[in-house]
Amino acid sequence: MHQETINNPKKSSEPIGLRLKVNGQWYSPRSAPTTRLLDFLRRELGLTGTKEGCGEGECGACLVLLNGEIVNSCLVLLGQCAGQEVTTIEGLDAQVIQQAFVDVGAIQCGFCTPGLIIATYALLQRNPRPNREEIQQALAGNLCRCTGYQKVIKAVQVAADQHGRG
Amino acid sequence: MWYEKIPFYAPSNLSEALALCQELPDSALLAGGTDLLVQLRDPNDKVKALINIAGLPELQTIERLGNTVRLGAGVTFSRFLQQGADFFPPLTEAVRQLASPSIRNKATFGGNIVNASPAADTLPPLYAADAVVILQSIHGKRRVGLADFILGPKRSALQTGEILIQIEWHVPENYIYYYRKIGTRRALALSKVSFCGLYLPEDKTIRLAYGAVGPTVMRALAAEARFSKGDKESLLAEVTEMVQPINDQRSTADYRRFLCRQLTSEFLTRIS
Amino acid sequence: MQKANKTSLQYVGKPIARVDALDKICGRARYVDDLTMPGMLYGYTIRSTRQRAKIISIQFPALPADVVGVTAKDIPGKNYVALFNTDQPLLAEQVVNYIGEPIALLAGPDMEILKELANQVQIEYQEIPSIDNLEESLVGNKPPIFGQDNVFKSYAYIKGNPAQAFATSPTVISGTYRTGYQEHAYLETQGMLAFPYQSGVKIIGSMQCPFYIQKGIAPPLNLPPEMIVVEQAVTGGAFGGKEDFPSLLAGHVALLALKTGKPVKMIYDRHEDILCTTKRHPSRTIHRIAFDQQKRLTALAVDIVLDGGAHSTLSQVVLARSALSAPGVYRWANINLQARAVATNQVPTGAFRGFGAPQAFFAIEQQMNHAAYRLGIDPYQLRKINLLREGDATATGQVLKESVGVEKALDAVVNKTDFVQKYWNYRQQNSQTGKRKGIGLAAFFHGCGFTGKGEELIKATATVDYLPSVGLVIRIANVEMGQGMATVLRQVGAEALCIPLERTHILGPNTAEVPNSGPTVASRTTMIVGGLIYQCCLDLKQQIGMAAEAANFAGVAAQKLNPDEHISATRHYRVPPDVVWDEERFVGDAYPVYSWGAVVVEVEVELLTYEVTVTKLTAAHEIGKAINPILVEGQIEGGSLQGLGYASLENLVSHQGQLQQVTLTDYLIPTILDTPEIEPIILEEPYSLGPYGAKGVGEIPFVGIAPAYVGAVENALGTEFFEIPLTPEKIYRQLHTHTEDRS
Repeated sequence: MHQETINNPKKSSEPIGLRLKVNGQWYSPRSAPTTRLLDFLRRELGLTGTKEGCGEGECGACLVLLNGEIVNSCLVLLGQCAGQEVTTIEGLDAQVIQQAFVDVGAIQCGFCTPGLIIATYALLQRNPRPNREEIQQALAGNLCRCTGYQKVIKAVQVAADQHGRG
Repeated sequence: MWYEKIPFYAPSNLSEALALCQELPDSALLAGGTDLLVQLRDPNDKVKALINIAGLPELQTIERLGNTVRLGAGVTFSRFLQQGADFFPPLTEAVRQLASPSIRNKATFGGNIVNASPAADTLPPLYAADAVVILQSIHGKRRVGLADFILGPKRSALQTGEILIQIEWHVPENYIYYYRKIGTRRALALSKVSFCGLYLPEDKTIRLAYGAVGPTVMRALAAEARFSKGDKESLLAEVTEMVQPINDQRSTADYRRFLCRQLTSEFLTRIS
Repeated sequence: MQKANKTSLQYVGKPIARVDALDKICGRARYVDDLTMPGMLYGYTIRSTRQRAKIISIQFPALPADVVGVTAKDIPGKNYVALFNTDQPLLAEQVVNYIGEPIALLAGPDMEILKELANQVQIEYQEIPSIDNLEESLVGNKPPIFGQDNVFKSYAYIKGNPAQAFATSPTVISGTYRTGYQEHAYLETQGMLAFPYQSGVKIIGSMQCPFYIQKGIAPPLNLPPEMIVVEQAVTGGAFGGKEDFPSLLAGHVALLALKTGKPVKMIYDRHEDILCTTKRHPSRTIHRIAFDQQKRLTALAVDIVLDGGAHSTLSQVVLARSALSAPGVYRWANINLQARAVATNQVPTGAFRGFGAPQAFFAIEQQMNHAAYRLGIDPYQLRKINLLREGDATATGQVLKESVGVEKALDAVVNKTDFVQKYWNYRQQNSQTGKRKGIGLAAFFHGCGFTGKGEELIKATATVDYLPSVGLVIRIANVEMGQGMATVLRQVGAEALCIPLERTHILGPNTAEVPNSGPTVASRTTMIVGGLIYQCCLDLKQQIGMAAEAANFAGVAAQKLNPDEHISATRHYRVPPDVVWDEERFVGDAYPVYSWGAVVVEVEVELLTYEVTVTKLTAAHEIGKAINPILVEGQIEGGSLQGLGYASLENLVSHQGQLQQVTLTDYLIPTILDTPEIEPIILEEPYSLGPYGAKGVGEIPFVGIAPAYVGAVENALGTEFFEIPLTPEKIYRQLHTHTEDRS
């Protein structure tokens, strides 16, 4: 095997050394480092709020925060998250946003909802007073087939207003 | 996924990465992963190992010195929009329209180039800028013109053991640009046609680059040469002659050829 | 049915938050792929790579001890999924009829190993000439796929004397209209989990119709239906795509579970889901309409053909709705109608929001848009002249006795958008650069509930229980798939009994625990099932000696019932006696009642590229009563955008039986950047037999979007179009190959 001839590579079929923080807690995964972050979250940690809608970064149902930035967890490998911090819908402190989604009626089948809430959270962290265009740009990677997005946009606006007051 | 059983290497610096790259000819370099991990969904893929180069410090350069821009291959699109948005506006426009925010958070310039897609969004502006890529292996560095580097769909001149480390180009003085991407929808769309035109008033020349209408992004050099003659129609005819669009799942050859003409014409109108 | 006094309503008509919202926003809602069981195996499907062929042999590789492979030979019963016909095999046996048709199944503990093994399964085929599309199917020069003539079903009728009317009318408008496939693209792909249960099998999954599955797979499993227990998991969107298809998938997992004796889960990835699940029927409609001097419609001749794909599935009922929608919202004395659903070697098409109506309304409403242009009248006036009104008879002779809101809807959208003024202004545009504006209009209906005798055949049954300690328990087979049914039906129950919403409950759909209230389809749940629940609640009141109007049910129940005692009521849907449908002659009351709608789409067309931007969509829907206005708005907004996708960008084509856009990278649905401002307008003309006057709303928002969109592009460009999706490529092709420019 090639890898044995190399000095100092952090190789790792064995999980030793790879640690990452998920929702505030450190884990040393059993899963291989080439496991998709999505599969690690769902299979090993049972965090099934992160959904797989397409497996190729087109739908946004699998969005999580990686060091505070939204990423498609179907296109990130566990090994790329070493030492980093992952936040899923289960660990997100986003009550104001979630309540706005409920009040406005921005939820239907719910499959895209965790991803939308994650993306909204990331947007409002960066830009607490987004306009309609900025909301659309920020959520452009989240497909929703049920709502027509009208109430999603409104929910983000309502959440921003609430944040502003709070 | 099938690739859970293949080894994953996480070099901590470029020289480790270059050594691994040399030792593991059947490996793939993983940066943003937004193209590679989609390709690896194919269970028949033959990749034997993944080498993670995302975040390697040597690939994070993002600078403009005088008229020269240098971008590390590992620079993500989001970081470019935060730190390099004013370097070269046609490229900034291309990046703003690329995929989606979460993809832009991971996807890198190096990946977009090495993937060698004729529809790659960053390429028309970089072709128009006559960008150069810098490749490194354990044997040393070499500089290759971008247009010579990309050979065809998913084919580049990258040799075994080499890593694309940097992209470099000179931003012309006082240029006027026109950039347009035509996709089926407004986000997360691959181009049907993308076009970047540059006008350099000082030497009265133009540069025309087209995406998604041939096996690689194409510069219309013959048409560019006609610009000084002032015959717009013959220039446009040259463009429509040169491009080699196809019918595929996204668009038709006729419409794509029409768009090349229309966008070029619009560019010429704007600079006249 | 009693209509409650409007002012006294506490729950009905109120924008109450969804009852399932909390679980969904926290990521706690458990969809089928979120479920695991001890010892659970995964299932994988081996599919045809040929469009049409005889299967000569199927050879599995050596299978590891923990992997099981099955083919049609392992089916204990009859090899079909029961629906209207028996032509769809559970697994292809002698022949395959489309690329993606299931042939064999594998179950094992490791999905990746299954995929590798699947790659090694050798299937030897002998090709048969395939039938690519509906035109080829009609030509009939290749061996038929279905019956003798490839026709799954046909309807035809003549009313009045159309030949004479066409001959004597001064204006005749003709056109051939085509519509394409559409993929549901529900965000949750199809998935099922099955395990041996009692002496049969239990199935949990993503579905619209638990009892369809039970009935559909009893013959192949060779089990009495009651030994197949079917339970719905939280379902991530359906839109009709999870009406009939889940029976096939459930049959596969059940077969594997029974064979292995273990739980087996099968979740399609997106590629597999697009490749092999049902789609909206492509259509071709040849259409002629005639007008007299006063611009009144005199005659209609229409020939609709739907591409049903390789198996009959639901095509016959989809076709019935197409045929009934073909005349549009207008009065007709003379009609010559023919409608056929034909077989092709393509993936079977099936139910999709609108269910045959969008194709038919695209044709008739485009005809009206084209007629208005040629007659020099605006599209609004032309429709007003010919509109159905209360007391008029429909094409099939159904007298519209009540709740006919089409004129109200039409007036609402036209006034709201200043349609007429804009229409004429935009017609004057002659710029050759920059952008042109356009505005388009459509009017339409959607029959509520099953077509014709459907409700009579289903005999929907609902049961409610009341327990003083728990409250109202509603037992029905209908499912929540995002549309809001769980919230709406609890509102009906809470209102009828005047009890708090929190004291109402819906028992999760499980065939062992609920009666068959019918499938969750056809915009029927609120009106039909909601109506049964309302009546059951009145029965409960009667049981404890209360008048229907009386409030304080909980108080009286507390006095009359012991704490551990409960009362129940069950109702079966009976078609109202004055609703009479003659299927043979295609005459009579096709639906108990209709919802009505009108929509205006406004666009800008960029002349440089022919890219179209929708700037505003205004949709008015008359639905009897909005039990929950916020959910109704959600249906209107979501259905409208899905309709815009269908009209403008959702391009799905098959080349030699191979769908060309089988990922979400290639099959594109609208993103949040593609959505225009959508303004929903809710109108209410109560239906006397609906709960609190309610009719259906699930499908109608989709139905008329395409012609309004295409009409708007026509208004901008001064050219007629006949095909959707109307992509920039098609606009370009038409403008640069035809010279017929009206501007």
